[in-house]
Parts: sequence; structure tokens; C-alpha cells
Amino acid sequence: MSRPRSFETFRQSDLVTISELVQLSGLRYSTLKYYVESGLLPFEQLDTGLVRRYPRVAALERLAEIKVCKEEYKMTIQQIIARFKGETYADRP
Amino acid sequence: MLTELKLEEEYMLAVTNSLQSNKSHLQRSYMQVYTIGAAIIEMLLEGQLRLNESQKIEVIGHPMTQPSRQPLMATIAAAKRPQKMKEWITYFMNHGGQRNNVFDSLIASLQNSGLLGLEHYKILWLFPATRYAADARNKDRVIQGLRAEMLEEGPVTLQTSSLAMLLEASKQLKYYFSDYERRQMQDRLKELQTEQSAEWKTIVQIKKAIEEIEAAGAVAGSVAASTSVATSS
Repeated sequence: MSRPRSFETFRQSDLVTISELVQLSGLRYSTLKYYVESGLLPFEQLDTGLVRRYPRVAALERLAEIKVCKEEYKMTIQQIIARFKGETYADRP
Repeated sequence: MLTELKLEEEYMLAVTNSLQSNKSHLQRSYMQVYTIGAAIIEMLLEGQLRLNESQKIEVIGHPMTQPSRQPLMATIAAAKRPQKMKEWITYFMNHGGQRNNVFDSLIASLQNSGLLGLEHYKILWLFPATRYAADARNKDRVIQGLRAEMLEEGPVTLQTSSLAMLLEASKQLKYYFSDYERRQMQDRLKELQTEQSAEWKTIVQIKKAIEEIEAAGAVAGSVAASTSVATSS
């Protein structure tokens, strides 16, 4: 088991763990897990059962988009999932 | 595979194996009537049923519904006169055979898709018994979805609010939310009351229906207890 990285270190890292993403985003662990399972958050996983790593910039951007959808457009999570369904980060401009 | 679930299916997954010990804290008959109550609530939300001025449940138009809900719809449609939610719950509490039929139909798709299984075990290593076991991934998704909607900012769907209220009424919420989070959720429900006032009219009706389930369950439970005492003495 590796030692946890300092906030300063993972704040500039390309890939972060879900615990680090919790600290960066201020959202609950269960909320992020739900977003991941619903296909809203991108992640990288080398093999089944291995730790998932999240691209820090892309994940935080997506979380910011979800926040806008919820707060400004008053969309429910189901509507947000439907909105982003099938869209991958490779599709984005 | 993660699938779209109906309210009664989400409720059933959430209350099955409430603790890591794989032991459900909800008695089978209560689990069944709350699941039936959840189905009635979603049928009210979807407009297949409606509450009339005296809060009695009526079937709207031709009673067509999904196959899993047909036995329930047929029972409601066959009633001589409309009945309140409380009366329906009391009816299902006191008619075990009918309750089993309707409940089995409601959870059939969960069982067919492998999301819910029936485990055989022995009480005191002697008496054979069965219990339901939920697929862990889908169960987690239901709970995480509930947490993500109820504990974060933003609009909440009627299905999620109803699920939260059903779990609270059946005293199952404490297994997934801390006391602090449950208080936060109560505040959130009050906030939603002002933010989503149009939808809240339905929620108020549902809340009342859930309170009636709770009251009917308590009455039926005490009647059953007093009957068993009278029989044994």
C-alpha cells in the first residue's frame, strides 16, 4: 500500500484517485462513485480489479458542467445522464 | 449490467441485505407490503391511478399496465368501491396469499435479470428457510444514486424523493445515512417543497400515502401479535 500523496502533489498530477478527486471537488465519495457508474466521469483502468485513475482536468471539467446543469438549468441527474450519454472525451472539441 | 429500475424494484434492492451481515432487518411481510405500496405510488406518479377528493385510489381509464404490475392493477380494479391506501395495505397485510402473488409478480423481472436471488439457509442449522439477496453492484447504485440526489444541490426526481420517504418510513434509511445526513435530507425535502412546489402536490399525497402504509402496518402488526398471544394462552 502506497502512502497518500500530499494535496500539493496531486493538485498538479494528470491522474488522480477517487479519494483525491473527493478532496479536489468537495463532493461526496458516494456521489462520485454514482457519476462514474452512470458513465458521467471518465477514468482509466489498466485491468479489471485494478485501481481506477481519473484524468484530473477532464473530471473536474465534467463536474463543473454537471454543477451548471443542476444549478442553472435545473436538470435532474437522470436528465444529465441522458444529456451526456454516449459522449466521450475523444468526441469533444 | 446496470438497468433502469422501477420504484418498487429500487426499494426492494435497497432493503434486501441491509447490513453487511446479509441479514435483512425488515420482516418479510412488511417488505412485501412496502414494495406493493411503492408500486402503487409509482402508478400514481405515472398516472395509471389517481387519488380522488376523498383520497381513495381509482383506476384511470382502461387498466393497462406493465406485466409485472398487472396482478396488482387487477386487484385494485376489481374492488367494489375505491379504497384508501391504508385500506389497501391492511388488505394485503391480512391476505397473505394475494400479497405473495402480487409481490412475486412485482419482483419477477428483478429475479429474471439476476438482480435479486433467493438464498436457502438454515435457522439454528436445523430449520430450512429462504431469504432474498440483492446484486451488490445494482444495490450500491441505488443507494449511491439516492445519496447523490438527496445530499447534493440540484433538483430531485419524484421517484427519488418517494424512495427516500419509503426507506425512512420503513426505518431502513439509518443503514445508509448517518444521523447528520438524515437531518440534512429532511432539510433538503423541506427546501424542495418550496423550489418544486408544482411537483410537491404529488409528493404531499405520496407522503400521506406512506404515512398510511406505516399506520396500517403498525395496526396489522399489533393485531397479529394480540392474536398470537390469545392463541398461545
